[in-house]
Amino acid sequence: MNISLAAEAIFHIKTFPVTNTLIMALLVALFLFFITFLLHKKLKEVPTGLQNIIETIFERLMDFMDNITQNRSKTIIFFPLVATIFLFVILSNWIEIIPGLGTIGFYEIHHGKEVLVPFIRSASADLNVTLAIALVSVLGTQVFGVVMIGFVKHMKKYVSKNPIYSFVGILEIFAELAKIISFSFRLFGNIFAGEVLLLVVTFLVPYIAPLPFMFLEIFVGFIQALIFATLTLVFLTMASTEMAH
Amino acid sequence: MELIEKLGIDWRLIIAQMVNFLILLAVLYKFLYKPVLKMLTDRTKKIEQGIKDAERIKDELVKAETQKEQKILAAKKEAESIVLSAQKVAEENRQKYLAQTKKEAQEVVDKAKVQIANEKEKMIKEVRADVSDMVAMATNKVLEDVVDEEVDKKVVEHTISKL
Repeated sequence: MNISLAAEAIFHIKTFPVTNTLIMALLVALFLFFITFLLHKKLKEVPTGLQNIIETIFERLMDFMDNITQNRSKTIIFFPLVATIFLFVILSNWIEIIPGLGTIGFYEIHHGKEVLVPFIRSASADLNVTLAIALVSVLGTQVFGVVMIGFVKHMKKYVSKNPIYSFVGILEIFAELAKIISFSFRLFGNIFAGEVLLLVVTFLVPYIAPLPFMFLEIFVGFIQALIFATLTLVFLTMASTEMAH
Repeated sequence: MELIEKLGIDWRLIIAQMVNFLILLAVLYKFLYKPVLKMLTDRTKKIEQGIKDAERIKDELVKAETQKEQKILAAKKEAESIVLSAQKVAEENRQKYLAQTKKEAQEVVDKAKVQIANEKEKMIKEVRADVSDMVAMATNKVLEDVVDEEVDKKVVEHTISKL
């Protein structure tokens, strides 16, 4: 059994490593494209089947978002980013439930040792993925802040003539950086730990015993996706509100 | 640096994942969120409109119902008044005709009485005349040759008027 913090490269295009998580992320995206394609073809006034499921998810999500934004129009503006983060992260997390996680792969000589390179690895169990989404989230917050309250007002949060506020502004800049770190490491840590847990439990007791942990991981995957999306929404809401001073 | 290598952080992968995510966001926005949200808001509007319409129709129904009842009530009242007035007119007419009939009957009776009285008088007169004639004749027969006719007649008439 080999546990690697970093995602394993399956092959290289010149020097660019195509990791298993990159492939998984692409598969998640393809899955969502597929759903979209299926739905887009037969979107109807009176919903049936798949459309019902999607509409229910959307409505629940919007109601939940309304609680945070307190404003339906804001919810609709933020919905695409938040929903995409939620859907992408939850599907990335749930990859770890797929049988064959961390076990199906090929052997490779690495640093003089023979190690397994698994094909399946949760996209969220790679810091590159979580960092990418965290960056999108934080940069998105900045963009929405500028678009919704104006560049000057948005920048006042970071730069000010008043010495106290300019100090606060510096703290705000560090807070933005901290957000990226906390976003990415929280998700990565949870899902990576989940993967390791499932791997170890499966290794120790292959039958029945991993089941409770699988349910736990389904729950953790949902919660982490919800946290990621909710925090993004909270930051978006804060960025779209003018500072009161 | 070692930590970054251990964690497998690679800026090229980060960029790749970000691009991947942004494409996903764009595609989902265009083909999933926009149409579905539009459909949801459209449906909400439609349902709201439907509920509003239903309420309006209900209100109108209630209004129509009350109007109907009012009309029925008014019609009933009118009918009642018509019947009442008809009864009144009928009663008046009856009284009128009754009175007229009574009057006519009275007239007829009066006329008849008058006629009867007349007839009686005439008869009495005739009878008197006849009786006086007969008495005169009888007296004449009895007192023939004793008294002349003139005296005789006077006597008879005198006697009869005393009767």
